[in-house]
Amino acid sequence: MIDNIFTVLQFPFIQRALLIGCIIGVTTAFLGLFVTLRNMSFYSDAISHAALAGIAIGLLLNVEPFIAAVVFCLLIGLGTAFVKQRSKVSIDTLMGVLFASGISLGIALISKQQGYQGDLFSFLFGDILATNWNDISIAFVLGLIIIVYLLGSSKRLLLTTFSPDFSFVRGVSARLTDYMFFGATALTIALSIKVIGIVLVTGLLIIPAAIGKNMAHSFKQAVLWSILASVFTTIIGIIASYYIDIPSGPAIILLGTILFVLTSLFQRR
Amino acid sequence: MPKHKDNHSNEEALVHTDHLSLRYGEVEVFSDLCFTIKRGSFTSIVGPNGAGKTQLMKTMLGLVDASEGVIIRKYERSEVGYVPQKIFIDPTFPITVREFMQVYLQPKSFWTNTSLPEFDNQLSIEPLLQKQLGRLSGGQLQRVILAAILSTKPSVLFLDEFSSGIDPRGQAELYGYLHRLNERDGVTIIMISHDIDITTQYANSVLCLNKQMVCQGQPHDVFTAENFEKMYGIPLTKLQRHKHHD
Repeated sequence: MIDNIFTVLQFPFIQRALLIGCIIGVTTAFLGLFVTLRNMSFYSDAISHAALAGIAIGLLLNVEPFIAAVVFCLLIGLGTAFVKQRSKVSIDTLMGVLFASGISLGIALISKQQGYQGDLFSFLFGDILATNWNDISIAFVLGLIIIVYLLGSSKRLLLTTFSPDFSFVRGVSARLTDYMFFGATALTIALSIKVIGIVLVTGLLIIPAAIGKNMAHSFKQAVLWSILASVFTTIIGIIASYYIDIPSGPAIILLGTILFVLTSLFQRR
Repeated sequence: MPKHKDNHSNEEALVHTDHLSLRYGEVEVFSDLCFTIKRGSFTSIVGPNGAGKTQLMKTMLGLVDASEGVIIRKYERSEVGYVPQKIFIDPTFPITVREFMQVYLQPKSFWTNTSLPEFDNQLSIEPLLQKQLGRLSGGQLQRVILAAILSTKPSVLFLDEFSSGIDPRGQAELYGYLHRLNERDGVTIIMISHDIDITTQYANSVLCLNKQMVCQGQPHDVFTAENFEKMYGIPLTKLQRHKHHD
């Protein structure tokens, strides 16, 4: 069994999959903690589904769909932050509209394309085993930017979550913090689509963070546990998916769900 | 009952307003407010729900821009400590009191193992530092927030319904502490309170608000049956009866 695993690990496509999975796993786990703290799970779902429209635009315009998704998600993310601050519409309603309109636009645009849309399945459910070095380079650079941003802004993010007015007195702009966070979340979601796909990307953000929250007593512990859970489920999920012959995305999410249930049962009181 | 020292009568104005109004579209929040809050005072803003108290405090802080009138603030933002009415603390989110202090004190820095300042012994914060913020009692949480704010050495404290949800003993301890801060250290305290007894006991200046200024002055002078009726819309006898029933 162990020999078999080592054999599997020698396949270059598995090595690339593990590498990009870990890069994205660390990023989503750290960011996911703030997504759960700010009750923004639905936001991540809405952005990921809106990404389908970005991918469709990329396919139509013959632009790399991943790049198109990144740009589209960023625009939608920042636009959402803008509307949230300027409008009295509740964030929940806004996300509902974005969710439905994003996926509708995506399907409408894709239906206009001629011929076979083989890529579509991989965008919906991820195709980590098809990762190339170009994907890894982009994921590494963007992931690093997001991690550095989170390390530098986590206190601001916490303070503005406690109370935007509180942060004003301490010289922290809640508005700017919001914009940066919405942007970073949109970017992370676009980045994660390669690994996990549009449908499951929210799971990658929420489940490791939820495991981290179950295990930790402090914020720093929560960050470490979330990252550990994310990297563990990604590695084991990819290897298991190879053996059981199922897509990697669902394998990662299902393993994470099992860990979440177990840690919920035995969490600290 | 603490004795009031009128230590602000000869002091400079900290906040001065002249015909100050705030409106959101057609909705009037407050209007035509003219008052002065002096440095060193212990001022309580009282009035019914929807009287515009919180929005007035936010306007004084510069969080909200007034629609009309003049407001002169003679303090720096760095001098201010503010406890808002609502602070979102997720009870399931693992953050310790120590980490909360680090967030509040140095919100713009990376996480480092910097030591915390010494907290006033009277607030008994040391035993709480390793506890999770979301698992503190209401009184403990208020003490932690107050300790965090006082660590920045503010000379002006804004407190919006600071003691709601705290039992009478906890309230007495907190207000006793605030009273000493005001008397001993000269910290100006501006608070919003629904509690007339607390206001009478600790404040030396009152603003009675019900969208407009109903009365202002020292508690014993302004808390008359006539002013209560103007402020709350029902006679004082009914107010007292409600209170006894509570």
